[in-house]
Amino acid sequence: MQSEFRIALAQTWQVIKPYWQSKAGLKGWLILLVVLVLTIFAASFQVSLAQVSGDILNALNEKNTAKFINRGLFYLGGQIALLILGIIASYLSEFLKNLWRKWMTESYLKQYFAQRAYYKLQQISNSIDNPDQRIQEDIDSLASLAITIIGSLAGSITGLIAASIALFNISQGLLIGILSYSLISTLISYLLFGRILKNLTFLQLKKEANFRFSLIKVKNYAESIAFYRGEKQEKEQINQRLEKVIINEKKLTLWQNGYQPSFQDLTERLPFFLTVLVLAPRVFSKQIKIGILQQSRENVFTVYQSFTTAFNQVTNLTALAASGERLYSLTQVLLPDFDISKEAVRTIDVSRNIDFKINNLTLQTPDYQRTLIKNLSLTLLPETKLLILGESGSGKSSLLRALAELWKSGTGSLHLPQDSTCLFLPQKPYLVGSSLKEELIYPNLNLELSTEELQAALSKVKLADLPERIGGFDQILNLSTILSLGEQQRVALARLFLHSPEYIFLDEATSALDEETQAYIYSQLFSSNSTMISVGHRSSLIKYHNKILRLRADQSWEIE
Amino acid sequence: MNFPKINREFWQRLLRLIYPYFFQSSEKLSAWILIAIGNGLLFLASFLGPTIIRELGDMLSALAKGDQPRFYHAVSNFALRSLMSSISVGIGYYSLNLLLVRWRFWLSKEMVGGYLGSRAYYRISNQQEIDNPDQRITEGIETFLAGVLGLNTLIPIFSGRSLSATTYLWGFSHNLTIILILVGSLATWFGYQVFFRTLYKIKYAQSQREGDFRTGLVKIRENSESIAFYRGEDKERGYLNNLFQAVFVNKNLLLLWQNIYFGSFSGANDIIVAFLGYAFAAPQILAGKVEIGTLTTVLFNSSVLYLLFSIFGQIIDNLSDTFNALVRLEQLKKAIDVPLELPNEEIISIEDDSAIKIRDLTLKTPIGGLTLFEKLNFTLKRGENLLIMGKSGSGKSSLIKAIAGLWLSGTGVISRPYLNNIFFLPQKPYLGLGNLRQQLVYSNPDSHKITQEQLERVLKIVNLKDLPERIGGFEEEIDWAKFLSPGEQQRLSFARVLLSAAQFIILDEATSALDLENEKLLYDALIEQKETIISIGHRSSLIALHDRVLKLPPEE
Repeated sequence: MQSEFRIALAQTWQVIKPYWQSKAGLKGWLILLVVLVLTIFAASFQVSLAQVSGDILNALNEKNTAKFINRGLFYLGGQIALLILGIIASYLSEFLKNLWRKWMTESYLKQYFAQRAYYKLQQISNSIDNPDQRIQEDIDSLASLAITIIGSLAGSITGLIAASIALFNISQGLLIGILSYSLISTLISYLLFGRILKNLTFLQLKKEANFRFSLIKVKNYAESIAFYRGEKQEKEQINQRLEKVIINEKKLTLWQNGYQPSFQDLTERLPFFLTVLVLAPRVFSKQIKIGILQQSRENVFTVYQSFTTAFNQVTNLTALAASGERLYSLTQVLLPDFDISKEAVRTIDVSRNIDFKINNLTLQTPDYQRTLIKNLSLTLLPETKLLILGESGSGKSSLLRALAELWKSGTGSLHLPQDSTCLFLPQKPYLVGSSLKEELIYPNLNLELSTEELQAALSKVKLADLPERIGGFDQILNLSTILSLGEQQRVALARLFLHSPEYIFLDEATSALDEETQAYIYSQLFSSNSTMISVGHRSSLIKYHNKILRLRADQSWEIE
Repeated sequence: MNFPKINREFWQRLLRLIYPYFFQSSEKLSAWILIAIGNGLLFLASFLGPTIIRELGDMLSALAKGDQPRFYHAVSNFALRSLMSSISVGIGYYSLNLLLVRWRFWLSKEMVGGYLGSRAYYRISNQQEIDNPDQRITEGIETFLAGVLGLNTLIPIFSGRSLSATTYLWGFSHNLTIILILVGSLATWFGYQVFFRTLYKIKYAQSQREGDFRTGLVKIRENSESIAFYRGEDKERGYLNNLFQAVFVNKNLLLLWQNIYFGSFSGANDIIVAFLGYAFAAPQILAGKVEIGTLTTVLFNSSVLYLLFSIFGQIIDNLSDTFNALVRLEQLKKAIDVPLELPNEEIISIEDDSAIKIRDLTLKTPIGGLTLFEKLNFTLKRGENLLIMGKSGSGKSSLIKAIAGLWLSGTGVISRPYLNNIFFLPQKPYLGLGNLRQQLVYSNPDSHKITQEQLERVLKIVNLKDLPERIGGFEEEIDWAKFLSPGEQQRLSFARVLLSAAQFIILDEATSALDLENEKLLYDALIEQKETIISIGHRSSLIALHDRVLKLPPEE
C-alpha cells in the first residue's frame, strides 16, 4: 500500500471516529449491530437455500412430488424471509447513513462558525477550496461509503465462507478453481481498468469543476458583464473549459462504457461454464446427482460475486479516503488554535475590558508580506467620534479588521470594549435574504422588537416606505436583488438604530448614499451617546466627527 | 411546493430539447448512426440472453438423461452466444455513451450560447425563479441526457428479451404467458399509481433542498467578511441548521418510500413470478411431460417477461432524476428564449445618434413597475462631461441601465451612439477568469491589436505599474477579486477604459473606493483621451471634474 493512501486512511479514521465515540453514536452502534447481524444471517441463509434449490431439482428429476412440495414450500418461505431481512437491513443502513450525516453536518457547522473559522478560511488562499462542497457532499459520501463498505464486507465475506464450505464438500478442485479464477479476474480488472478509470475520473471531476466555476462567475457578475458587454469573452472562456471536459469524457467513456462492460459480461458467465464442465463428467458417471450441480452452480456464483463485491470495496475505500482526506483538511483549518501564520509568535495582543486603547500597534497583512500601519497609539474616550481617513491601500479597512479581531498579524496591543457592546457595519452591506424583520434584527438572535420600533428605525434611514413597497415586514424575499446598493446600505444602517450599541464601527457604510441622506444619518449618529469610528473618503464627513486619524501609504499616521 | 406538472406542454418542451440535435444539427447523421448501432447491438445481446439460458436448460436435461453429445453441443452453443453477447454489449453501450458525450457537447454549447446571447444571463439574474443556472447547464444537462439515453437503452433491452422470452413461453404454456401478462399489467398500473408520483415528488424535493442547503453555504463563503464583522455566526448557523434539517427530514421520507414500501412491492413481485414459474413447470416435469431443464428456462423467461411489465418500477429511479433535470433545463431554456414580459408593454425606444439625447424619459423598474423618475430631458453634446447626482434610490444607476439597454420599462426616447462606441464601467468592479492581459483587454473588440507597451503604459497611468511584478507577470492567472483591494480593482477596471477605443464613457461610482488624489489622476487621464464622459457619483469633489451636473430626480 502506498504511504500516501495510508495517510489518507488514517486521516479518514480521524474524521470517522468522533461520531462513534459520541453519546449520539450509541444509537448508531445499535443500528449498525442490527444491520450487521441481519446481513450476516441473510448471507449465510442464502447459501443454505442453494442446497434447497438443488434438492428441488433432484426431487423433480426423481419425480418425487411429495419431496418437491415439501422442499418447494420451504424454499418459498426462505425467499420471503430473505426479502424481509433484506428490506429491513437496507432501510436501517440507509437510515444510519442519514443519521450520521446529520450529526456530522451539525458538528461541522458548529466548528465552521466557531472562532470565525469560515472567515479565516477565506483569508488563506490556496489552502481549502469549496468548504461548502465538503460540508454538503463529502460528509454525505463519507457516511454513505463507510456504511456501504462495512455492510458489503460483512455480507460478502459471510457469503464467501459459507459458499466455500459448501463447495469444499462437493469438489475441492472446483473450490480452488473458482477461488483462483475470482482472484485473477478481479486482479486483471483492477490492473486494466481500475487505475486508468481512477485517473480519468479524477481529471473529469476537476475539469467539470472548472467548467462550472466559469458559469458561476457569469451568474454572480451578471450586471457587470452586461455593462461591459463581455459576453464574447465569457463564452470563449466557458467553451474552452467545456471542450476540455468533453475531450476527457470521451476517453472515460471508451474505458468505462466500452471495454469494461464487455469484460465484465464475459467474466461473469465464465465461472458457471467452469462449474458445468468440471462437474458434468461426474454426473454422467452417476457419481453425483444433478441437484448437486445446481447447488454448486449457485455456490460458485456466490463465491465469485462475494469475491468481486469484497474487492470492489477497494474502490469504495479509495473514494472514502478521498472524502475523508478532504474533510480532514477542513477540520484542520477549523481547529480553534489554527492560525493563518506560520510564525504565530507575532500576533497582536487583545484584551477586552471597558476602555478603548490602541498601544503601539503595528499592523501587517495576514501573510505578513506587507506592513500597513506602524506604531499606532490612540486612546478613545467614551462618546468620541473618530474618522479614519487615508489613501486607498493605507490600511483603513484593515485597521477595522484588527479592531474586530479578524486580523491579528502584527505587534502591539489593543484594549477593546466588550464584544457585545460593538457593532460593525462592513463595506459590503450584507443582507441575509430573509424577511425585512429578520434583516433588521440581524445579527442579534434574541432581539424582540415591535413593528413600531422597526418602523422608527427605518424612518431614521429614510426608508419609511420600504415595508409598504415590499409587502410588509414578514415577507420573505431576496432584498439584495430588489434594493439598490444605497438602499441596502440604509437597511444595514437601520440595524445600528435598533441595536443601539455603545461602540459603532462603520467601514464606508454610506458610500452609496447621496450627501443629503448621509448627512441626515450621520447627524443622528453624531448626537448619540455611542462611540463611533468610521472609515470614509468624503470630506463632508469631517464635521460629524471630533477626532480624525489620517493614515498614509508610507505607514505613518497623524491625529487631528 | 412548486411541483412542476407533467402535461402536454411539458412533453412538447421535452421534444423541443431533444429534436434539434437529431434533426437540425450538423451532427445529426452521426447521431442517428450511433443510435442505430447502439440499439441494434443491445437488442441483439438482449435477444441472445434468454436463448443462452435455453442452452443451460438443455445442458441440465442432457445431464439428467446422460446424453453426452447433446450436452457438449449445448455447452459450445452456450459459449459462442455468451461471447457474441459480451462483445455486442460492449460496443452497444459504447456507441450510446459516445452519443451522450457528443450530444452533451452540442447541447451545452447551445445553452451557453443562448445564456450569454442577448443578455439572457442578465435577465435571468434578475428573476427569482431560475436558481443556479450554472448547475442547470453543467449537472443538469449531464443528468438529463444520461437519463434520456438510459431510458432509450431500456427499449432494445426489454424488446429483445421479451420477444425472445414470449416466443419461448407461448410455446411452453399459453396460460402461463397470459397470467404473466395480466399480473405484470396489474403491477405496472399499481406501481404507477402508488409509487411513481410520490417518489418523483419526494426526489424532486430532495434535490431542491440539497440545492438550498448548498446555496446557503456558498452565501456564507461569499460574504464571510461581512458576517465576521457583524458577528452573525449564531444566526447564520441557525439558518443553515434549518436548511439541513429540511434535507434530513425529506431524506428519511424518501428512505421510507424507496426502501420499505417500494422495496417490498418489487421484492414481492419477484417472488410471485418465481412461484408462478414453479407452479406451471413442476407438475409437467413430475408428470414426465417435459424435460427437467425446462424448469430453469421457464423460470428465467417468466422473470424476463414480467420485467417488461414492471418497466415503470424499473425506471422510477432513472425517470425522476431525469424529470428533475428536464424541468430545470426546460425552465432555463424558456427563460432564455422568452424575453421578460414588460408591465403594460411600455418600452423605451432607443435610437441611434452621434450624441446622447434623452427625451421625455420615464423610467420604471422591470420588476414591480415602480416609477423611478418622470419626464427626464437632456442632451449631451460631444465633448461634454456630465455628472449625475441624486439621492440613493433616485434612479441614477437605473438611468445608465436604460442607456445600456438593460432596462427597457418605461416611456420616452433615448438616442445614443452605437454601443461599440460606449464603454460602461459598472459599480461592482468585475474581474473575471484569466491572466492580467485578459483582464486588461476584457470586452475590448480590438484586443488582438493591443501591444505590451500599451498595457504597461496604461498600468502606469492608473498607478498599478508594479502589479505585473507583484503577481508574476502578464500571463499569470490568479484569483483577482481576492488578491486586489477594492481600490486596486477599480483602478484595474479604469485601465480597461483607457485601453478601449470607445469615445463615450459611462462610469457608475467607478472611483468610490479611491482616495481623492487617485480619483483626480484617473479622471485627468480620461478627460484627455475621451470625448464624452458621464459619471454617477456622490462626492462633491467630482463636480469640479465635469462640465455639467444633472440632479435626479429631474426638477420641474
